[in-house]
Amino acid sequence: MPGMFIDVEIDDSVRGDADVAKKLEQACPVDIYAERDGRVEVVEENLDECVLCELCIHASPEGTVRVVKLYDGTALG
Amino acid sequence: MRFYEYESRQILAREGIPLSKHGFARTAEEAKQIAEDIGGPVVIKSQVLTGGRMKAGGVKFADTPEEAQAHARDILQLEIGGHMPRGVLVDSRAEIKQEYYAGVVWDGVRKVPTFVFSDMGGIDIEEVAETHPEHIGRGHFSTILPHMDFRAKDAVASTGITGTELNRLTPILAKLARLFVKYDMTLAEINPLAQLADGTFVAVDAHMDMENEARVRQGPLLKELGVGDEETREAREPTAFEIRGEQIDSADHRGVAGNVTEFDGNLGLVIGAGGGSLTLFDAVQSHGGRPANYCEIGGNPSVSKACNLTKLVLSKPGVEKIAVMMSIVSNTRVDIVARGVVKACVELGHDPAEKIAIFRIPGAWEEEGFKILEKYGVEYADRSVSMHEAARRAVEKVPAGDGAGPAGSGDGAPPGSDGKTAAPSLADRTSGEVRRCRDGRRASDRRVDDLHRAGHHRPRGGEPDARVPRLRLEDHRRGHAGPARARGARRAGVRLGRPVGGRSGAGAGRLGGHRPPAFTRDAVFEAIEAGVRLIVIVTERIPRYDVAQMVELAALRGARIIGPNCLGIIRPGVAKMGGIGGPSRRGQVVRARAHRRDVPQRWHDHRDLVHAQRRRPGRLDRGLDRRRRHHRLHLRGADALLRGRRADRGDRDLHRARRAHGGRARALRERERLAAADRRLHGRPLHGRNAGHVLRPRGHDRRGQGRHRR
Repeated sequence: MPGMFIDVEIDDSVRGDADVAKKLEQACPVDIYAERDGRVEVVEENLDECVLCELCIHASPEGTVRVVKLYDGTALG
Repeated sequence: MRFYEYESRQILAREGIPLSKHGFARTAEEAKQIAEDIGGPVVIKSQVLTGGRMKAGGVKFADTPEEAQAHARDILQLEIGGHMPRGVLVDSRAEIKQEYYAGVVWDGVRKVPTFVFSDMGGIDIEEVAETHPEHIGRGHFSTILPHMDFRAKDAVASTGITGTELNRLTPILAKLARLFVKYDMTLAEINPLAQLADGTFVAVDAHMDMENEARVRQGPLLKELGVGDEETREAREPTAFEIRGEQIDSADHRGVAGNVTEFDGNLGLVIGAGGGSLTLFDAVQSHGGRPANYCEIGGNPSVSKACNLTKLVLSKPGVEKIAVMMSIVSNTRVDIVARGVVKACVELGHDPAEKIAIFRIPGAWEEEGFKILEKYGVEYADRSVSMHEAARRAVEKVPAGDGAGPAGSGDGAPPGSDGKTAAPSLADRTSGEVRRCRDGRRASDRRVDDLHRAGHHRPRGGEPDARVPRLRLEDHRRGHAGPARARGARRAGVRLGRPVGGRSGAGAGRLGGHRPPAFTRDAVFEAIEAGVRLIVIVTERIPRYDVAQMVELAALRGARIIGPNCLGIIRPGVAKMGGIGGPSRRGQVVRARAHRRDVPQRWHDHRDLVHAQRRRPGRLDRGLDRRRRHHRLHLRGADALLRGRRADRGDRDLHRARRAHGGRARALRERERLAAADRRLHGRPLHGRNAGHVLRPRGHDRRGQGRHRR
């Protein structure tokens, strides 16, 4: 379930990648990502805390993570 | 924070000020025992943190211990101004020949402490000042120079007191002054200071207030007095609304969204940023609006924190709309706050467009924020709309009904202002009372602790007398900058180079970076002694005593301080320091620690701000060269300020000569001191070699005043 202002889209190809999950968990300053059993999990209650820093986009393979700004329909990544 | 009378007496006793025989009792039996020990008539005084004890029946006289016990029992049950007494003070009822007043307070204009003495004590000193000004003696004293008793003597003597009385009163006032600075007081007064039948003086009542910001360093005193960390000593108990606000703030370390004060209006306020809260609150009132609350939001709080604060304000009974307004923000993000307030409205089932009267927060990430507001149809304003205008628009949108919540009387006054409980002023409630984290630590301690953990600031080793200014004069005397100076400059966060703004010549150095309140004074001292002539202090909650010392040292050294609690300075389009908003092309210094790290890099990137490094990189680190350059720039800056032109050689020589003798301000003060001494003794100032001759002897002069400067 997306946040009120922000949603993140993770490509299925990296969702089960433990390395990417760990990197995302470490990179996000507001704890939107969590690594659970080697999979990437999105912490929904933190979605709206996103500061649009793009660290998650840089931490994951290109094009696999998108941050969607629901208030204007644009996306990062 | 205020002290009870019995605590004030303990403080006086620590400093050797004579007191009447007394004792503090928590029960009537203890009061009886103390009365027996004193032997003779006694006074029983209720120990409450409010005035009007006598009128309320909180002060009674007793001739016997049994009578004292009965009175104590009554007083201990007596509520005064909404406060129950903590105990009773049993004081001997001495025969008083005359009552005097002795007090020390801050002179907010000159930023130094001042004595106030009167030979008409026992009654309202303000009234005496109006009706009998000749009975009031005043005198300022330094916070960094050694304490001189003659200043106290001057204050006492100016009321016409002479002889033995003068000699007995002077040390009492001088000790009170020492106590005032030693314990970070904002008020220390003895009223009445009683002269007994045998001619001796004793303090019969005392009132002391300590700076809230100094609670940490005055910990040992507070511990000795038994004042717990949980005691905020506020004028009234916080309301449930305010407690909830504190909880919201302490629940999340990110930013500030709290310091809530409850009022009885119908317009909820979510306001903040660099002093903007007070300005906006006043602006709303000036347009006839009735704020439902005061609060502070800033420092880039999280969305959830902003959301929770907004929910709190919206859920207050009587609140019809909220106004979200700030000054221009740099480190608080507009879009984050916008998300928080919109989310709060939606989650409470309100239409944001209907509930938010106006959103006026220009600054960082405002484009993103405005997109969010547009989507939800909220009226917003950018920096082209002043805070005052935004407040007017918000007030216009709120219906004019009384909208009073159940917490108060509905007249716009704070809850509790029913004549019984002293209503706090806005300044009282926003002056940094203790805010707590979930773990029980004070919020300010938590910040300092976090900084220590992060390795940014380490307390100095051991426990030397932290009140002794560490003036690094030896660096100056050595005649070169050297590693000590560089270290001092680093500690102070000083960036050396040309003045901000390039060719304006406003000073020889500048201070950047941010220090927590506990370390600001040392940083500024070292910066001044390292030759920095312009210091901008954005830090807030610095104890007043520290501020006074910084200001005084700056005056002595010819430096200039802007701040503390300064929003920042800006030369639009060129550079800015601090949290002030506005366009800056070359460099930027902001309050957030994370942002500070990129500041040096930015300055290095823009080499016109590190002029010296670009021109003579090989010699940058040579202290002598740097010192000469800064001295030259300082002279040029001073000339520009004083004369409106660059100095010629003659002017510069004169200026050097003045500096060599300690600066013009110091020379003038010395001259004033000597002239005052002459006037006292001769009725007129003497001139030439005779000036101040009474103070000139190298050893002890004939009046036994000790050693003085020539």
